[in-house]
Amino acid sequence: MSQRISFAKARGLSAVLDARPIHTDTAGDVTVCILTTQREWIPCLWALVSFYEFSQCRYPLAIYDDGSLSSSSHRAILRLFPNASIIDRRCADLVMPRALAEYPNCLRFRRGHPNAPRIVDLPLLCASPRILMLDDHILFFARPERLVQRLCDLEPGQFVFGRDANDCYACSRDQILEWFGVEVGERVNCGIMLAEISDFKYELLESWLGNSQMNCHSWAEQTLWAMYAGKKRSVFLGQEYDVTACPTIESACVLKRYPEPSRRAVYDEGIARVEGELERRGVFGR
Amino acid sequence: MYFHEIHRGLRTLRHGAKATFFHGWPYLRNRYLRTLPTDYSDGIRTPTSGSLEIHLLTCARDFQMALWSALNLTIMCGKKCPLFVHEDGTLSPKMLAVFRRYFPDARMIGAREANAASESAYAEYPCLLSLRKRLKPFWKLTDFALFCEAPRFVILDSDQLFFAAPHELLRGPSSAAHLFLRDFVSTYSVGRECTGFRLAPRVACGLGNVAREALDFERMECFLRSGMVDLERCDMWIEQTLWALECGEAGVEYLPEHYAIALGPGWKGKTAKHYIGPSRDYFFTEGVPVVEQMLRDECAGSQVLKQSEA
Repeated sequence: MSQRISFAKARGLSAVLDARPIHTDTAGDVTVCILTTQREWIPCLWALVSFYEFSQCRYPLAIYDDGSLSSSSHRAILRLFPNASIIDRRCADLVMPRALAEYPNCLRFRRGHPNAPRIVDLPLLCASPRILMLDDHILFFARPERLVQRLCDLEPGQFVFGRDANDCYACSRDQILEWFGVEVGERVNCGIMLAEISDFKYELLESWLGNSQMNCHSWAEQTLWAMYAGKKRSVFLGQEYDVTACPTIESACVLKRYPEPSRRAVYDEGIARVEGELERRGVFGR
Repeated sequence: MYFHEIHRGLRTLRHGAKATFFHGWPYLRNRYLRTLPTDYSDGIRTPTSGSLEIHLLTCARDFQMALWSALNLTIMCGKKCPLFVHEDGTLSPKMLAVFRRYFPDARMIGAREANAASESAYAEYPCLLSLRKRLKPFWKLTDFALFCEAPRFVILDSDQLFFAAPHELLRGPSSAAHLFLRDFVSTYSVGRECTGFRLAPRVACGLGNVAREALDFERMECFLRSGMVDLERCDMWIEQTLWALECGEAGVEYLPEHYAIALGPGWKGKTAKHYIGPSRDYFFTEGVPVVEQMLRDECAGSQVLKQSEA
């Protein structure tokens, strides 16, 4: 069984490398951002290829390498997305300490939390006023109409999120209100997030990160985005973008997320489905 | 002193080994084995005077990068701009000969000549002179303007490569005095408490188009004397700070987004990339092969043109 899975994994995963190159824009109002690692860079490519192929958007792409990607992974990514900007963690390490010299809590958080670059680095290193942040465990199965619509008509200052199954914050919403005086939306999930980053206020992050609870929690980054947006500025995508524990892919499904406990299913069902859809569109050069 | 040299040598060796392990053959070949561009070794003819000059400061460590960078920009601007190569005194006679072979018409300015000229030219500015003595990157500020004979000059760093013709850079600013690359953040030797002086934000002095007449060394000396900067301890960012001062006072425009500061690999869609710090490895792995191919194409094109003319 396990051999079958690994074969399917190897076959399914590498298929994305045969996809036709996607020439994204080099500048624009929105940058698509994704954080990836050597372990997850091929699922990350599936997420990106499925997003760009189904949405037909060509927003600039920034891929944040956490420092573990090999040079061959870089080459493979650039073959598929020739206009993408890969941000190498080692290079970001040169810029960020200078930029955030006045924000020691942000720097400490950046050093200690694996997801910290999504909220600390990307707002500074992306030149566009807005970012569309994607997780590397998302797969799109059809055109994300509502997301595309939001990308076109987002009001200034608004943040667009998906919804989690439950509140997944570093502390409860009541505690957030009590400790920081910030009211956050319910079940905010930043796996797909459209955020306004022009004039990003690091001083807010700095004050919130002074709380030790916030520094070390695995959901700290999501909590910080929810706090930064606040309840009033948070807008949600439809139900079809929610995180679900549903074991199968429904026929009308736009996308599905595969967070850690269900990550294996991305290989068993998700990639096979996406591959079939993309094959019909002639995405693979076979 | 020897300990410092040994330590630096070991660090370089360790970095070289790590980078070779990470990037593999392309890095090893471009960084260490085939060290010079093969085409154009019979020399590129450039004018000796013009309305826009290219000024480049280099040292022994960056000699090879400087050669690529100068070749790249000279070809990209159609060999129309005079080239001035300032060396900081560390280049060996062999390295100088290589530069002369590739750029027979370039003006080579040695450290001795530069020291003598600047000491007499900046005698009234002791703070500037003391910084010049201590920090070699500071020579870009003092020497480029001093040896420039044209109304405008391009500042070119050794770790800069061009992937398309830099029209915006060569055209210069439309309304302001200077044109510079935009940094991610303002990296200066003074904090926000700078009072009485206006610093332009996010100036990156690795690439720029500067109006020589707009530079005011009196103003720079005043700034240095104001006590906001510790002249004995300040680091190399003081040079960028003074460029920002000049830009703040005389006006600055920024190069568009496709002139990028490198944060990793990826060059398509970019006109120029400035390979800073750790991204210098990518200079050799992605930049040099692309530029080499461009130079080869250009060389082949010009040979065909010569043959057809003959």
